[in-house]
Amino acid sequence: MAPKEKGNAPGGASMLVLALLKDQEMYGYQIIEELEKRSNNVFQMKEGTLYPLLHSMEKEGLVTGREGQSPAGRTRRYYRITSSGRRELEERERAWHVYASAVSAVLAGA
Amino acid sequence: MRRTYWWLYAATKKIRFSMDRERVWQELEGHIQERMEAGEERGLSRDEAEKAAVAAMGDPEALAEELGRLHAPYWGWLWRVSQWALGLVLVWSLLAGAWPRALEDLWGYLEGVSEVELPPVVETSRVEYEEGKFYETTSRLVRAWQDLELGEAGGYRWSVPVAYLRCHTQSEDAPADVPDYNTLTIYLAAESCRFWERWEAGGTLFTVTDNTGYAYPDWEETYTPRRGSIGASDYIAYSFGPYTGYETCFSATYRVPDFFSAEGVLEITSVPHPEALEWLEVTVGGERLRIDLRGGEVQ
Repeated sequence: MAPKEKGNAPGGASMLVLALLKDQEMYGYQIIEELEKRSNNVFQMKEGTLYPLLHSMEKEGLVTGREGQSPAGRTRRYYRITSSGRRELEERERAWHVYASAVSAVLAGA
Repeated sequence: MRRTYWWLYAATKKIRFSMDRERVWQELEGHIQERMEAGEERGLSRDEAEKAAVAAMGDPEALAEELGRLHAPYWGWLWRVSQWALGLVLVWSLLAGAWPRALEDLWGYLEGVSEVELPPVVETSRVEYEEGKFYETTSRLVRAWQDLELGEAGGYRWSVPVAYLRCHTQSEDAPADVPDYNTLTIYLAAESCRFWERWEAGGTLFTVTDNTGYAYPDWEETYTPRRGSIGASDYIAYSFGPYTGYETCFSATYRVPDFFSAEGVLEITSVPHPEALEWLEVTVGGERLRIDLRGGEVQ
C-alpha cells in the first residue's frame, strides 16, 4: 500500500510527486523545482521530506530509480513511475477530487 | 566542502547497510552540488553557495532517522542473500539444461531483446497534431541485421540479436518543424559467467562514433523545452529522448536482468549519412565495441 504520511487528508506529497513523474522521469532536485514552478511557489518541498518519500516509494514499487549524471558529471538518481505507481496515483487523484468537492460544498453553505 | 561532508555524514550515519549508504550519499551529494552550482551562477562565492546549499537541505538528524528506518540492514542483506540464492538456482538450472531468465520489466519496452522482431518493411502512421489536423509518417525499413557478434567488453560477451535502420518520411502537410529523419535501433545482448561482478542496472553507454569519425551527442544534451499550462500557471517541462526532438543524438540504456546477462538498446536518431554507414564504435564500461553494419539491405 501507499507510504504512510502525516495526517489522513487526501492530496498529500506522494500524490504530487507521482503526478510529476507521470509523464517523464525526474531526479530529486528537479522534482523540487518543478513542484515549485507548477504550483506557483505554493508547494516548496524540503529535501528532508522528499528523499525519504522517494526512497520509500521506490521500496514499495511505486517508482523505480536509476543512476544517471548531470551534464557536469554530478550523480543524479532519476525516478520513473511504475504501473502500480500509476494505479496508486489514479486512486489518490480520485480521493482528492471527492475531498476537494466536499470541502467546497461545505464552505459554500447548505 | 567540509560543511557538505559533515552534513552528508550526519544525514546518512543511521543507514547501516553500506551499499545503500554509499548510494544515498552520492545522490544527496549530487543534489547539494547542483544547488551550489545554481548559487554560484546567481553570483554567490563558492563558500557562500555551499553554506546556502547545505542550509537548504534542512536538518540532517531528522533525515537520518527516516533514512535509517527505510534502509534497514535486515532488508538489505536479505536482498543480497536472495540474489545469491537466485544465482545458485540459475547455475543449477543451467547445469540441468534449462535456462530461466528473470525478466523484470524495468523499462517497459525492454521485454527481452532475444524476442525482438523486425518492424514491417513499410508502415504508415497518422499523427494528429491539432484538432482536425493531421499528417502521415511513412517508415521504411531500409537495412536490417541479425546475430552480429561483437566480442568482449566490461567482462561480458556482446552480440546484436537484431538491429535495423528505418527512414521516416513526412507527408506534405506535416508542420515545418517535423522533418524527415531516420532511426538506427540496435539491440544489445551480453553473456557473462562472472556472476560475482554486477553492473549497476540502468546505466547508459558513454560514447558512440561511426566510421566517418562523427561522434554522436548524448540525448541529454539535446533536450527540448516544452511549454504548457496547468490551471492558471504556466510551466516549462523538459522532454527527454529522441522521440520528441529530431536532432542527431543517441539514447542508450542497459539493464542487468539476472546474473548472467546484460541487455540494452541503443537508438540513434538521424544518422547524418546512412548510405555511408559502415560501422559504429561504442564504449561500454570503458571498453570499446565495434558494430559492423555493412550490407543488410532489405529488398
